[in-house]
Amino acid sequence: MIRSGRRLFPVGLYSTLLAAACCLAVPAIPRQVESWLRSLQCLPLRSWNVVLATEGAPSGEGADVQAVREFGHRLGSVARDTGDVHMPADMAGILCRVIAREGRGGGGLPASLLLDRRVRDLVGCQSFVTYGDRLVGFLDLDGRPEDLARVRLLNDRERRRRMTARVRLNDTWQNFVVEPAATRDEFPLRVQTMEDPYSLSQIENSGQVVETVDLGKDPVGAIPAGLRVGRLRVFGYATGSRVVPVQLYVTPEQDPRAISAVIVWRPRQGHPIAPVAVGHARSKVHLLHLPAPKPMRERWFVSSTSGLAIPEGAALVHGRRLVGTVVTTGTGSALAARFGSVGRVWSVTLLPDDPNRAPSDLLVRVRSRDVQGVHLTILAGRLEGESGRLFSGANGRHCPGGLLLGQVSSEPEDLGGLLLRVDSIPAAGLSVLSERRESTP
Amino acid sequence: MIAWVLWFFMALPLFLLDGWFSGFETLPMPDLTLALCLFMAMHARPASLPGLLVFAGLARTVVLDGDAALHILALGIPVAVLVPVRVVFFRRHVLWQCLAAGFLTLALAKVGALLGRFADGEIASSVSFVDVIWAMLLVPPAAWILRSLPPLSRFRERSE
Repeated sequence: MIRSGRRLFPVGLYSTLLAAACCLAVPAIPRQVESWLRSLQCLPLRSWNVVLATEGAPSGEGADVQAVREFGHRLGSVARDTGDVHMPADMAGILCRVIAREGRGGGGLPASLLLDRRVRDLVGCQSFVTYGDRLVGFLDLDGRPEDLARVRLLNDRERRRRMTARVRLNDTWQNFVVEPAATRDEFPLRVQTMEDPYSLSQIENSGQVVETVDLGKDPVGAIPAGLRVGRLRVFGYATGSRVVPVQLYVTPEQDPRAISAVIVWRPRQGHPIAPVAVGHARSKVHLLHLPAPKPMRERWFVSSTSGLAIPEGAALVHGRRLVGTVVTTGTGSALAARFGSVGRVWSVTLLPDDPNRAPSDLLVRVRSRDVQGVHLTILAGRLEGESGRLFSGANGRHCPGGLLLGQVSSEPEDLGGLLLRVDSIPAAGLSVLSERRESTP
Repeated sequence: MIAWVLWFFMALPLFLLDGWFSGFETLPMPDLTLALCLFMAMHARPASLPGLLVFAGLARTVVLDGDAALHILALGIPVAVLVPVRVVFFRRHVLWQCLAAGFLTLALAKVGALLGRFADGEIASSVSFVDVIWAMLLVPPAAWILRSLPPLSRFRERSE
């Protein structure tokens, strides 16, 4: 009877599933054990990889280096160009790369950006942070001098910063206060304390540009007038042909999930700016292509020639070209997925072929991969231009921005995405990048 | 003990072979993941199921995104549904095996899609009616081969 009961309800099986569900909820504890066991399980693969390994340098790097240089130059000039907004003449813009996005602010979007500069390197800089003529957020230099600096975005609820803004309605400027919305709100910023509530209640359509106002003694620090905060959104109920506003919101010009670079302003006369605090060490690896079941289809086994640990999320590069990322870490070996792995979300920047168009930061998801290339769905950001070259954006500490991904073109309107043409991956000349903090003096 | 060591190292080649099979777009090939699940659900000793599942889940992390816990659940939940039912089935009857293979095809895809949100990428692909039919035809013979060969032959129920 007991035996029959055990067959009907194998306690071991259900206990294993229960334990697995617990591990899924608290993944930190079993991860190290899992990593050791996987390294053991992959020992035959590692030996095989060493036997098959071919040495070589990255080929065709000259064109890639040129493309990366052009990208850096155009990104820097577009990011620093504030258009009609007059920045103080004694201020110089420093291009800072975003390493990671953190927190959850208004509208459920990220609340802060981690930069590639240390706190002590940005002391004395202006509090406002821009990208082009847009206000991105405010510099946060709290913390130890050797910590990485942060940008608190406008929708950050933890350090709620209200700011004065204005919108042009019927040839008159209407002033109001903009503050972070609730995390459950549909939009990240909301409008409060309107100068003329009656006029603003007459708004019927969304989309008006909201820009900053220069207050004489702004308690949050001086902000140049005319920087674009976002666009007005009317939330209300429809009565016939018009919408009666219940609440006014603002959506930032740039989706925080897609931002990969910002400009921090510092006095020209200050101390010379230090180089970026986060460098990346390059270690050579051998690559073994593994056949994988659907939907992955392909997996890469990489083993480091130096035997050092390969961190999770590290970029796998061929010269200046990003070909994949490490998905499962190990000691001396790891597993990597190519850029086109279905379902993955990436922060990327498109550099249009048309030199008059600005680079656009995008958040994309890999929809599918076929003989044509990798099909990407745009989740956030606005596409500029129909074709260009795609570069990596802010994808974590070990995957730097500005690495070339390939030539991209926009898909037909019914698909509404991008098609990235990917070259075949060479077996030799591959390296893994991992974060290397510059030592503090 | 030797059987367990063999299974620890053989689980990965099994999934690699499965990946190689899935590369044949024009030819219908058996899904070895389904064949393994069918073996576990219909033929494996209940006491050996945790070990089989853990090593299989660990090996599956090499070829697909996600932690071992995720793959243990993705493979284990459909198996756990079928295991109690096997008592009332005539296990060796091919009809039950075909039906179980069809159920596993759908269940693995659904559970994988549900658990996929815990992984960065997708861990299961969608299945069509044709996939289910092919699985019902091809997976039982593949499961028969698996349970006839070591190390899985060592984990078969003694009553078979």
